[in-house]
Amino acid sequence: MALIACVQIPNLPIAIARRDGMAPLDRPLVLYRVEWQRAVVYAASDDTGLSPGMPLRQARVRCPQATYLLAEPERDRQVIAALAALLEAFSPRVAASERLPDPALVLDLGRMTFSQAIALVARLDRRIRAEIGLLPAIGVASNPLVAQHAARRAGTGVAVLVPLGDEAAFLAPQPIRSLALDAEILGRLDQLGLCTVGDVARLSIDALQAQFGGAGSRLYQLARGIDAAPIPKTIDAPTIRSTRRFAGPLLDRGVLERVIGDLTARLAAQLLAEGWTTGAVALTLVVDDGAPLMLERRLAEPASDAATLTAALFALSRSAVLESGVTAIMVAASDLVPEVAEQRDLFAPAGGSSQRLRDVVGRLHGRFAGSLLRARLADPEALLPERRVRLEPR
Amino acid sequence: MERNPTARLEQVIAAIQRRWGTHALRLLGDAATAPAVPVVPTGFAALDAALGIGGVPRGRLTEMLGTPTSGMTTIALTLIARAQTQGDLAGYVDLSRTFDAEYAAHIGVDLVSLLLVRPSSAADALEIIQALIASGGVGVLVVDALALLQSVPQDARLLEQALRVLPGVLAASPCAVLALTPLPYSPEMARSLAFTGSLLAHAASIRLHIIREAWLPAEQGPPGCHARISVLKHRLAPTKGDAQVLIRFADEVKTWH
Amino acid sequence: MSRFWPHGVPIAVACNDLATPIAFNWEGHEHTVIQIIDRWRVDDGWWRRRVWREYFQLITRSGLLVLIYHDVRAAEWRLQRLYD
Repeated sequence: MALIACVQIPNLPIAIARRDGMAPLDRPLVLYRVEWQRAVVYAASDDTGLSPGMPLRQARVRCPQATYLLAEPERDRQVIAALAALLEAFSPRVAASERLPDPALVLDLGRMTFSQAIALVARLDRRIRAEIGLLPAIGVASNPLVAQHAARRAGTGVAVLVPLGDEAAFLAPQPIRSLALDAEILGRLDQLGLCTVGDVARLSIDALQAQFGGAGSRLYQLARGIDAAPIPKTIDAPTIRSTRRFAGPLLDRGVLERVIGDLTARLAAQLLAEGWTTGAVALTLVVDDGAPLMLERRLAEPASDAATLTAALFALSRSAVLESGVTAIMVAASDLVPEVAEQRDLFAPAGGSSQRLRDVVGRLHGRFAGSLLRARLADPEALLPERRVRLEPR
Repeated sequence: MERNPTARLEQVIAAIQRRWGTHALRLLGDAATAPAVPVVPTGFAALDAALGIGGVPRGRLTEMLGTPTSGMTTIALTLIARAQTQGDLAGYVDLSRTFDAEYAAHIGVDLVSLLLVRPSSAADALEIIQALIASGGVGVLVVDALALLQSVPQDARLLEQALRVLPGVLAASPCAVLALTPLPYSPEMARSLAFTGSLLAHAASIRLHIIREAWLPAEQGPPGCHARISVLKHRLAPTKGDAQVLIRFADEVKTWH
Repeated sequence: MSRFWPHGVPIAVACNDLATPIAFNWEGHEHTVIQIIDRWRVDDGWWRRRVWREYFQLITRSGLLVLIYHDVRAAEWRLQRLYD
């Protein structure tokens, strides 16, 4: 299952100001900016009761005890850029919305199980705290819309993960204005007495299209937590290569496969050491008299083990028609995504080893279903030993 | 510098440790600075003591060799049972397809949470083993009997490739892997094979050889034996001699009609 | 290692006059019985498909502790369990 994470720093400008010691921690803090010769609130700590855009004069009347400082949006943008750069170590698909004062960064985690996502979120949280010095709010779900809602619900230093299939139920109690809708649609929903996302989700697509025209389909999807918009690739993930050159041209397939096996073992070791899995492998055979043969294969699912990579590369090599000897072989792994190991501390889910067993079996079940068994003492008192135990597929 | 070579050596070591830390260099037997190896206790105190580190190491491959009825499987199943009581997930890769579930339950293995694996090919076996280790979710993995793959050339090649990457995969994993290697009945053949180089012998961090020494007298209860476990190889600590263990085999359910 | 064969492995068994096994042949090796630890009979399901077996738990000179049985109806011997 592909998962999306949304990382927010709640009230980012205030969090940065506090991090940098610009104001006493025990007093409310207001940051303001001047636009069109008018001073307005840019960001305010939660204990002020003030909201961005409020005239500064009005704010000072409402909250005279706060510390008032000029905002520094450029500093805030630099922190967002640093955060985005950090997240790019976890995924080549990171999108940032610099909608200050509450920007959100969304990253495509690729295909992983929920327990892997829990472990990754823990790592992400630790790195953000250590390298940025701020406490993130993290949401994880099957699409960016729900992930952003989850991050918003999470709050400072907390992660919320929405299981697959629970998206609609998670969004249902949220106020309708939490969806990214324009003011006109929000106004009409209000007039119709539809206050929560769940209220809208109960309507059929026909009813919504009748009321809102083309926007009705989009509204139908948003209310059900459906958001298929992909996150574009922002950086080029690295490619890992391993090469061997020969003194003279080789035609012996057995020797070539042994070399491919060796190179693949090195590739797998490097993937493991650097924490990647690969979605595609490539084989380049440099032949004695002719253009190099380049063959590529996408894997059914990202892998990093030598056996899977070797099998894929052997299949490519056997499909190559060699009319002259090979003078060099290169194997490469591309489309890399971070590998995540399971962790059993901190976010260890309730259910302990039984959950871990389900996760481990779940990962292997697709390809090795027939090999995974459970033994059961069906009839311990049976006279015949073979009737006491039953072996069943997991 | 001291003229006494031992004292001089200790001065040099102390200087290196001061500059680069105690893990940079240490005298064998310097337990105070030896980094602790995470282990899974075997359930046999004498064996844990002989290993010098308190059990079978996590993140490493341990090989155990023994003839049939030496007690090798009983030790492996006891290891699994102990690990399960401590919250570890355990797996048993049954390459010979003769796993004795009733006996395992008698030893104390929780069958419900035991992941029993019967691969359909050597390639599947090696891939599943690697995946289980890399998952980070399995604490103990017993493989019975990996050495059998060496008898088929194609499978031996796969095993060789797998053993090249296995240490790296294991190093990042909390899994303690115990590979069981059956030896032939003949004591002479068994002894020679135990010491002969093999793919597993090279890859294993620890190699243990279990030998049944004497049967327990019949009047002392269910059948059992005294066994001696020798540490043939140990990369992680100096060995502390052989271990003497008592193996008790299960009683059968029987009824006279 | 400890092995269990649910359907047993066919073996050739030599018995004495009391129909007690004294040796058996398995995987090309002959194993001389040095001690019968226990023996019992299972006679079950006589009203449907009768199962009539004589079980022997025994030790061999070659150092094995095994469970073998004589399937009386099929007149064959099988090795079912090797203890380890």
